[in-house]
Amino acid sequence: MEILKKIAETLYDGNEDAMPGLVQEAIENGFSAQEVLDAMMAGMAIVGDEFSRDELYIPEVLCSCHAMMEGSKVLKPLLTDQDAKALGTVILGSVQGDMHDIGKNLVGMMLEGRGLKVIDIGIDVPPEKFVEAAIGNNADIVACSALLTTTMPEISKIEKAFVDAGIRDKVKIMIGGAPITQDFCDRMECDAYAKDAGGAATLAVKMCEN
Amino acid sequence: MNSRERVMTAANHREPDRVPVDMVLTIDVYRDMKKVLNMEHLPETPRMGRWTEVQMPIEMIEKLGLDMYYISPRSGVSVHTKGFDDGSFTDEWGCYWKKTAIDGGHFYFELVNPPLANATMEDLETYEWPDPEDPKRYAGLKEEMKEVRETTNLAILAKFAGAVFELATYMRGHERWYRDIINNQEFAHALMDKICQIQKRTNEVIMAEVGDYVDILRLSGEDLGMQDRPLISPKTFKKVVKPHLKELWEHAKKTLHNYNPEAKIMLHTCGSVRPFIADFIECGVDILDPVQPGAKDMNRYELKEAFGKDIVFHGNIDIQKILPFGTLEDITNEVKDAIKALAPGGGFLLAPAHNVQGDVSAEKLVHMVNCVHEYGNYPISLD
Repeated sequence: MEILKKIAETLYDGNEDAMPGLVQEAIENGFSAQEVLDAMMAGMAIVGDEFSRDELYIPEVLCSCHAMMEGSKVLKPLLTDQDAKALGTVILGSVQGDMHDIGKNLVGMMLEGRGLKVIDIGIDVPPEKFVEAAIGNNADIVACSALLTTTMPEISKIEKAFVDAGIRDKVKIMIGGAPITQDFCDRMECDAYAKDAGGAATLAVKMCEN
Repeated sequence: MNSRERVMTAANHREPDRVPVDMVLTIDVYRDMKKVLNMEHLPETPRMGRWTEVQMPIEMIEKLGLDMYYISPRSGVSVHTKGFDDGSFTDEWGCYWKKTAIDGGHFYFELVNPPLANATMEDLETYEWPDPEDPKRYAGLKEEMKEVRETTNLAILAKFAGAVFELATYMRGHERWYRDIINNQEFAHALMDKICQIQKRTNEVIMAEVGDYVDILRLSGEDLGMQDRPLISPKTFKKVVKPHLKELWEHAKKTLHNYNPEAKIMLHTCGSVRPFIADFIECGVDILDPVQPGAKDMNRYELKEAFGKDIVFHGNIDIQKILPFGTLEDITNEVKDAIKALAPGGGFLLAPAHNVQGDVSAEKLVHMVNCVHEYGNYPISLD
């Protein structure tokens, strides 16, 4: 178990370079890919929680996310289809007119770290693309990022696009970004607001489990 | 007391006749302001910067009752400089600014494709850096500043001093850069040092040209805060970033004081930055901008209490909720509260907490200024 503990700690420390070697070592010591993945996800959950409690900063979290990605690369070929079954599928994008991606990317990495399948459809995404991607991937959640007061109005267009497509009841719409509030989320009739990436991951997991 | 005396009195922690007020408008608000003030004869797009902020004409500043004239350096030219048909451009550092439409017919320039995203230490040596001696950067500045000084009583705020940390972020890309400062510190130091040396020399060159006219030298954006916490940890700031900022800021102040010993330096840094304010003071920063009121731990009363003796506050009128979405009454209350908290004893220059965007009407801004003229007179007597 020492090696799994070390993997969780290394992930927490964000040591990207050390991660692949440790994962390989754990596999060689007889741990299953799923056991190693669970250890990494446990580390990621701590990172997410501490970030939500304002105890961690973006650079450290990014390093942890990248350490997770490096470790996952080693595990991917070893995971069975059953192991790799995601908790749910999330379409993720920054709204039309919004070129900001660091918050979105962080949310994406956090969601993956918590066992969700993430389809990142990029920045400057028009409402119809969110709908298209949600239908095409049979998504459970659509997560929209808006970083500017001037791009916030796009959220209502996205919500309306899902209503117009007749699939509003099949998809949860989750929103976030610096100017977004719970009150705004309620007024836009969206399903969830997360104040940060850790909170987004916890909420998404909860919504998919229900 | 004229505008310049008002600004400099407040900047010296003394009470002027009233709280000074200023603002920077982006293009759409400027156009709205022309209509509201019935000044349609003014130019359609007076010199627009990369944040779509415009050079407000003296006539508009005076009609609005503002106290400050902002001036930016001209663009330098390097091998990277290029304009594209869609309005996007590459600047002298090689950063690509994509023209991006936003809701309501506005647009913005957004950074994409950072030029040093995959650079190594060796690449930093061979990269074609901007030339600090480039005279294009200050072409016409002296004439413009001389005119402002001779024909108005406005204080001159010069946005001349370039960034280090934030520019490194632009050149490397946010994600890569934030990982560099944790896991790749040798590179991070090398990049910041490279930029710092260019900025230092650029300041020397531009101050030699126009330093006499500068009342406030604004150190370019070193955004270190997010909405809910600083961007980087205080530990990383002190160990990795602060040494470079200290070197640049102390040099900028010393250089400026060779030409105008009374001038002040202002640091622009958005968001939740309270843990760094003592460091800013230690590095010689006189004025902190924009003191973003909605950000965490930026309570205006607490900041005045903790740091008001050592640093002047500039900005602080909320642009995230109150100016775009609030009523005129909300704006009155915001202005009164900011004055009540920050103005006693001087040390407060009131302004919107950033360049005003297209979602704020000119009417609201005129109201904001009127409130300062009404409630900002010393001695402050607000309940």
